Amino acid sequence: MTAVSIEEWAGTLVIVAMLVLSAAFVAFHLEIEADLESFLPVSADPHTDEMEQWSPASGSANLILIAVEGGEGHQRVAVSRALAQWLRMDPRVNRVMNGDADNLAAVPASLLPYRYLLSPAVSSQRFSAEALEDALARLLRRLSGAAGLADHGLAMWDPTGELDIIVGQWAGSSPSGRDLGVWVSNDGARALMLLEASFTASDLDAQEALLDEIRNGFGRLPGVEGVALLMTGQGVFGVESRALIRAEVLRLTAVASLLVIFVLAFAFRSPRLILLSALPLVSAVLVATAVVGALFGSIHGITLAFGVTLLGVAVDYPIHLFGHRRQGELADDTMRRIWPTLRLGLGSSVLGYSAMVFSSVNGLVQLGVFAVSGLVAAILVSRFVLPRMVPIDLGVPRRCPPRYRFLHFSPAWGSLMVLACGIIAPTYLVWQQDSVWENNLSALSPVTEDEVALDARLRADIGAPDIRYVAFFRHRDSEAALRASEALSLDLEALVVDGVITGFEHPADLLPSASTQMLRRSSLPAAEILAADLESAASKLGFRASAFEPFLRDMEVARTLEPLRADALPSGWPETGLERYLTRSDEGWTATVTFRGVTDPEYLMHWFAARDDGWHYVDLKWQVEQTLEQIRDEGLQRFFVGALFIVGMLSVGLRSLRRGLKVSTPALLAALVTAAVLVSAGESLSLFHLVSLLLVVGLGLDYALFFHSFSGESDRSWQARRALIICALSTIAVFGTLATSPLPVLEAIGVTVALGASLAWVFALLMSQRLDTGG
Amino acid sequence: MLMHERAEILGDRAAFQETRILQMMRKPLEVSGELVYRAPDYLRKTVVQPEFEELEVVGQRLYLGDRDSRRRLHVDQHPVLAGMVAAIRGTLSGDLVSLEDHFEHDFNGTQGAWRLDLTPRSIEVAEFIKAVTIEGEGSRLLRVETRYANGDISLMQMQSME
Repeated sequence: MTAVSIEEWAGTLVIVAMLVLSAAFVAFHLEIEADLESFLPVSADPHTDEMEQWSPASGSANLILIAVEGGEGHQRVAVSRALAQWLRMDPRVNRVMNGDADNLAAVPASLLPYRYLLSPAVSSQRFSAEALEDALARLLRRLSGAAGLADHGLAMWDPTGELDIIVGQWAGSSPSGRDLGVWVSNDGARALMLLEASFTASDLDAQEALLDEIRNGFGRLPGVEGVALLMTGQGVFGVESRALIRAEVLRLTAVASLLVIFVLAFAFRSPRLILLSALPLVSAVLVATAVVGALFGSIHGITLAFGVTLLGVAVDYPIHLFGHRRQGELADDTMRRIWPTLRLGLGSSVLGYSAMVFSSVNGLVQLGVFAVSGLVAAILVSRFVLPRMVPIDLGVPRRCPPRYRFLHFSPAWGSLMVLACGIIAPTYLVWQQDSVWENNLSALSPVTEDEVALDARLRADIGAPDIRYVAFFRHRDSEAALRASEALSLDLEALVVDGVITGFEHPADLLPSASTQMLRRSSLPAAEILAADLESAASKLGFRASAFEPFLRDMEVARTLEPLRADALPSGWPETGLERYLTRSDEGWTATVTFRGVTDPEYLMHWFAARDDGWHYVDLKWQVEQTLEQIRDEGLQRFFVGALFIVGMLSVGLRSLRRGLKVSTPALLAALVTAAVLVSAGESLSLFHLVSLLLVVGLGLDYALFFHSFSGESDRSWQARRALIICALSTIAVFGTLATSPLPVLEAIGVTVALGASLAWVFALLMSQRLDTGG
Repeated sequence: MLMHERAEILGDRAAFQETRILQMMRKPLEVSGELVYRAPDYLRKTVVQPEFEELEVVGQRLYLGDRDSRRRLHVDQHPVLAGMVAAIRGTLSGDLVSLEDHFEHDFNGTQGAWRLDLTPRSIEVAEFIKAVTIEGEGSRLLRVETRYANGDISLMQMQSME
């Protein structure tokens, strides 16, 4: 028995101080980020900002698609109206579109004379003698029609109907179906509404509050009996996913903790030891979070989630400590005995994970730093703090562990199996190359198929643009951006005719360039000519010429109007939705074009590539998938570099390349075989699997080192094996529980780690027996 | 209230002749056609002269069309139309609730010959319509006179065909 030295006590104090500091930092300084941007690689794409803005993950285009279903038609219409009216008063809502407001009241009075500059119908022919006669003839037909005198108030003032055209454009894409003016689906079964929130879709707290408010408000409306409210959109998905993940994590944590407590209770029979087992892991998460937060200014939510997964290996350290204790031994002495093995295992894991630190992907760098600093903290706590808290003889098992004869293969069989796996798994993976990776992002999303189907249905009903495809044009001058958008729109019309797209939206539809406005202005007829032409048309059709004086007056005003310019407009001009299509940044203005009904994305992409006129076309989904693929490829590279580091470190630590290979083989092989098994079972691998495989390697190294260092038939070896069984059981308990989750991400992590850890354990056992005889 | 005592009718079909006096026209417009009502809430006004056009009201839905096409109207953009429909249909069906939603009403005369004066309640409708006077005999309408806020006037005479 050796007394605890002063240095060791000093170490304890330093580490406790480090924990306290970390806790304080995490509690008072930590910022957790949620946007995908900071996790993704630093992109060279100059349009990252706009892509970010339009990307589903965040962005100002926070649209909520709302449908009212069930009940009677007029009931749905009334509910839609009342709901929209109520929502329009909410400051968190930019605008609500359901058809009942796209009327002339939406046009600010100061802009009314501008109709002759804004309407695309205005040309030199628009107010010719014939055209005026046509317009008045149409008016006469309306006045003598079945609806009669219902509405001709605007006719004296806007006989050619320019305002109707403008308001129609502002309403943008909207469903063709109407019931009493309110948007309805084509089959009439749903009343539809489109809400644009003032905050980004990634602000989940604000989103959740607004969605709750909408549901509550809907419930209080009169006449909602039998009527259901449906909502969808990226923000809705975000809130639902978060709620689902929270509930799942809570449930899984409870189940997994119970299982681990059961395993530990069975092994150690001491509540104190069970509590102490959690200490290294908790310290590791705390320190790792603080280190990443201090180095990067904030920590990403994804880093935190993956990082905690990677630190799962920290639970094994206390288990080794408790498991290796003998009767009457001080925990400090046990720790000194297993320290070289623990240290080597940690050293190789740290080296392996540190491969990620030198990555260009910000998220991987954070993850590497998190894993490395967490593991170092865990091992320091296990070495210098934990032993001091374990009373002598507490929880030391008296019985010998089983000798698991059932696992005693002959060394020949063992090596044969390992060899076979070592050949089959990589060969299979190389053969299956193309189908190994998951490229469909939505396959990993917790959003259910029903919700996706509802979203697609409502999006089709409303005719909302598919924000997967966008094109950008940036210029320091808004006029140039609008002119570019006008030029592009002329060419895009041809694509509509060819059926490549069914439609598109562009900013110049809402605000024409100043040069176009000037052109329209100059096409307006001179006052005398207009008055004469109007007079002759009026007298021909029986109208009093004086009736149209308001029209002549507005024309007079229009003739001297300066064009409306983007920088002079009230911020964003929210009535028109222009702010979504023409945005201002420090570098200038960006025009954005969105597309509807893209039938041939590839053609569209090549079409833009061939233009070379400054328009930048992006398939956002493809872009995000490319980025994830890049992260994954780089992660894979790091995985192999890390593997090399590990073999090197172990060879140095064990003073033999052969021993180094033998100890690292079970871990690396387990990862490969796990990947092969998952792929052969029809799973496609994603980043989540890759991170899980990293943990498998860390666990496997520990298993192999302990099997290796404490092999043979001695008491020492039994204790080591007992500790290893407890390690494996608790890992499998935790990740096996995750594997039962209906959420794809949690399931992926759970299955991979549970399977990988089991395989690593078995391989380590087989290889250690081989070492017993062969080495 | 006499209106209650009027016999409920299942339907009526009448030829109409309408004179529209507009401020913006030099001469009145003459319009003629057919008006059909079926209890409880179907109303159709077919203009035959000068040009075919049909306005059909089924429950809460409004359709307007010629021989080739038909479109559903946004009723909130036509509050006047909604008001007129409520006036005529309300009178025919004796549906006081819907009538009172839109108009103050004053009933005079006897079952045999009566007169109903309507003044719009909502500001939306009052902005366009000043007053509507409906005259009838028993369950039939004979004459509808509409005075618009801008000074326009519509006079409609009806002759039952059933």
